[in-house]
Amino acid sequence: MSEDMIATFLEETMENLEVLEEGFIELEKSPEDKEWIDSVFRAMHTIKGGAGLMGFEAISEIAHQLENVLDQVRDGSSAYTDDVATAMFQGYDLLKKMVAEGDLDGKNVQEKKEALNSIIRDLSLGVDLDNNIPPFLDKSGEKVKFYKLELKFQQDIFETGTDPLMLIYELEEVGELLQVFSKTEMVPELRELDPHQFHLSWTIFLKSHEDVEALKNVFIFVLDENDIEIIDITENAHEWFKGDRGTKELLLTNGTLTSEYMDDALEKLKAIGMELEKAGILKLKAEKEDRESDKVKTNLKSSNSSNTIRVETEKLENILNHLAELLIAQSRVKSLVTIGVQNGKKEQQQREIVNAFEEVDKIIRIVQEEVMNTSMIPIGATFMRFQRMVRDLALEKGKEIELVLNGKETDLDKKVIEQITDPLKHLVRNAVDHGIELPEERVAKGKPRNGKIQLNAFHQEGSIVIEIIDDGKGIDEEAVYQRALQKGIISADEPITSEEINLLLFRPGFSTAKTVTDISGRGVGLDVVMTNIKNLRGAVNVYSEKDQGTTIKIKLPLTLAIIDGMMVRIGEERFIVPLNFILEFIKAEKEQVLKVEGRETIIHLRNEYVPYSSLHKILNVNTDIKKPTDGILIIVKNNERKMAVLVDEILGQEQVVIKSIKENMEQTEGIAGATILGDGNVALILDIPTLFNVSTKLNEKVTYGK
Amino acid sequence: MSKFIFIVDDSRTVRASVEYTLKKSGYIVETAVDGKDGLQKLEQLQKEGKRPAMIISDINMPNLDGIGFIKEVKKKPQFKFVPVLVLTTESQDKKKMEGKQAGAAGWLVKPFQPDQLIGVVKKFVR
Repeated sequence: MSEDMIATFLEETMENLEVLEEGFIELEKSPEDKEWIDSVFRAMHTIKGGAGLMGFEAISEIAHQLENVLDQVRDGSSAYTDDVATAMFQGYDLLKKMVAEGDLDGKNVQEKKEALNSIIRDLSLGVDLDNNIPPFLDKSGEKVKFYKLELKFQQDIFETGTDPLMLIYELEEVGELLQVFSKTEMVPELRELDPHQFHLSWTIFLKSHEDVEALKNVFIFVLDENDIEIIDITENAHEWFKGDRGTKELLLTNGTLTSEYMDDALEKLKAIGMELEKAGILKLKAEKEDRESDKVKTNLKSSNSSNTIRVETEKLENILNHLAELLIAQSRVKSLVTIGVQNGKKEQQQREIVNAFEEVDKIIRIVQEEVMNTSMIPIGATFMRFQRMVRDLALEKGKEIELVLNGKETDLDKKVIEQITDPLKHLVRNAVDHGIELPEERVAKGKPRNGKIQLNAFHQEGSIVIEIIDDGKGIDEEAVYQRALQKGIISADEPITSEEINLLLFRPGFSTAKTVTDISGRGVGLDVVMTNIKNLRGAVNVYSEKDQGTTIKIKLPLTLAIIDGMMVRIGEERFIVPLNFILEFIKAEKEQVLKVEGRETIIHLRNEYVPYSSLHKILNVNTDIKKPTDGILIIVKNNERKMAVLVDEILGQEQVVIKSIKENMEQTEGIAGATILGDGNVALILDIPTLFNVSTKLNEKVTYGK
Repeated sequence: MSKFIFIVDDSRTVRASVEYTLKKSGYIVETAVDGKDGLQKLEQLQKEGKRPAMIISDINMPNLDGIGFIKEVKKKPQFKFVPVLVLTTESQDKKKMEGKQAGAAGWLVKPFQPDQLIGVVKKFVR
């Protein structure tokens, strides 16, 4: 685990914690708000997944419990009550404290964690608090086991000359007696007491490096006739030593102690638990993890200033050099402008000014590119994160998987990388969970035992493409289609292509997984993936073939801040069409415009027919140009689909800085953002992929050729 | 508790080695050569007001074998509660159980290592 990864995880978790905070506050006001429930659920889900990936089990565990509660609220099986709210806020505080203090293993918050556990338990929503406890190791790295011994002896044991006390002494030699409870309830009153008879029984908690056999050896001479029970409680030792209600139940159901001694016993067990914890044994973690968390602590300082980027000095020097050139060019313009008109050489002077401006313009572009380049980082570190995840997951699933990484050096905008990590995680996880078959299954199909998952990153036409390719069983199109029908995502009379079927997986509320696993399978995965990718102005393609595997292709812009666009005019409004979606411009002739079944307008473009969409209608802009033949048609393309849109005029190519308009107004379908033009006016940037969908909805007449 | 251990075995070698091992560990040792000798010596000890903390006895012995010896010991109230360890060989698994039935507290299989012996003795005498 590298420091980068930890820093990334912490950053992301802080962001999600903010979402949680806002969400919980909103939910207090309006507990029925489905959208907030969804978003806090997702945030919690992401925290859990990330923590799981990074091996921060304490966080993962807390998030998992809270997520389960939220899941039940989400599916309506329980309400967002005040008690739930309390649990959520406590959980939030706890997670925040752990992250803020770098206490990622929850060492300092054990009590709060327990408090939270019991609050959640009290919610009695049937939330399971299952914990996977790795083997305990003591300081020397030796495996520590915990045993509970129940010793009941025959009353006449003394007659064999055996003194049970000796056995307890001997136990001390094979382990550490954590606690010995003597049960005296069978001891008769003094006048009835036969000193040759034995009436005590014991419950002993023992910590030992030895196995059960070695412990049995202590009792070798008395095993046959006496009631000696040795139970390995290592797996749920924490339950035994918590000293809480759970421990009490354990003691009672195991018949270990009657309630008479209970309070005392619980106190004592709890003390042991805390002692063990202090000794770092019940801390559930190996020595290795300790070092890991130390690293996190040192790393925290740098992650607090998470908005920093490392830049090569050479890059910075280049920028400074160009800025110097820019200053020179600027002063030349300035002097040209301030000198004033001389000797009637007005035209020559104007030309010089224009030339000087062009120089400035050129340098600005260079600087811009260079500055943007500083925020580009290779995707390799992100890819590396998946090595461990795939390994762990494959192990867990009993699958044999090889992860191949290509294009690790491919540079991406830091922001893009941050936002794509999670979606990638989901997709890789899906490939392992649902894509790659079990080794036997693969062999039966004549495929190599080892499944292969490939992660590729490369540049293509001014975009970044990331591919997740597995050679698994492929997507069961029929199952996906049926499920989508059943879930009401599509209707039976809707025609659909196989690629579109695959994309149904990315619709909200769709999940074919039968079991709930750590990350995938809750039906939140893929629609979140889609949303995230869309937020990045990216696109997803899915190709799948039965038993051959699945390829998921994500296309992302190089950077988020600036796009190359074509400025167009509709009526009095100006819009920017991102250049990478534009195929060509045409001036349509009358005979190119056709009507299908007298309704849908299509454009005959050379040897194909392209659906037509009247942009002014979709965007609700007034214009005189309403017929396809009146204005200019832009042929835009998204994935494999084409569409012709009508604009009044093409104004020219522009590099524009995207300003988000989300903060000020609701997300408008078809609009990706806004930019400020040179004259101070605002132009809206069109979101071509959603325009395809919007136009379908808005104008039933438009369908797309299949 | 006294660290006095009483050994009954017809093999001089066994007696010597057990005696040596125990003495080295700080125990006080008395020996007898067979069951009959053992019972007599115990009577003698009783008169002296001594009682062993533990008896280690072989099973196959002339005159009175280990089983008979243990049975007799267990009949005596003053020795009833003294643990008896029987020494057996692996081929005498049955004897082990017989010994237990007779009242032995445990057994040790010959040949044994000194620390095995001490380990077993410690179950009864500290």
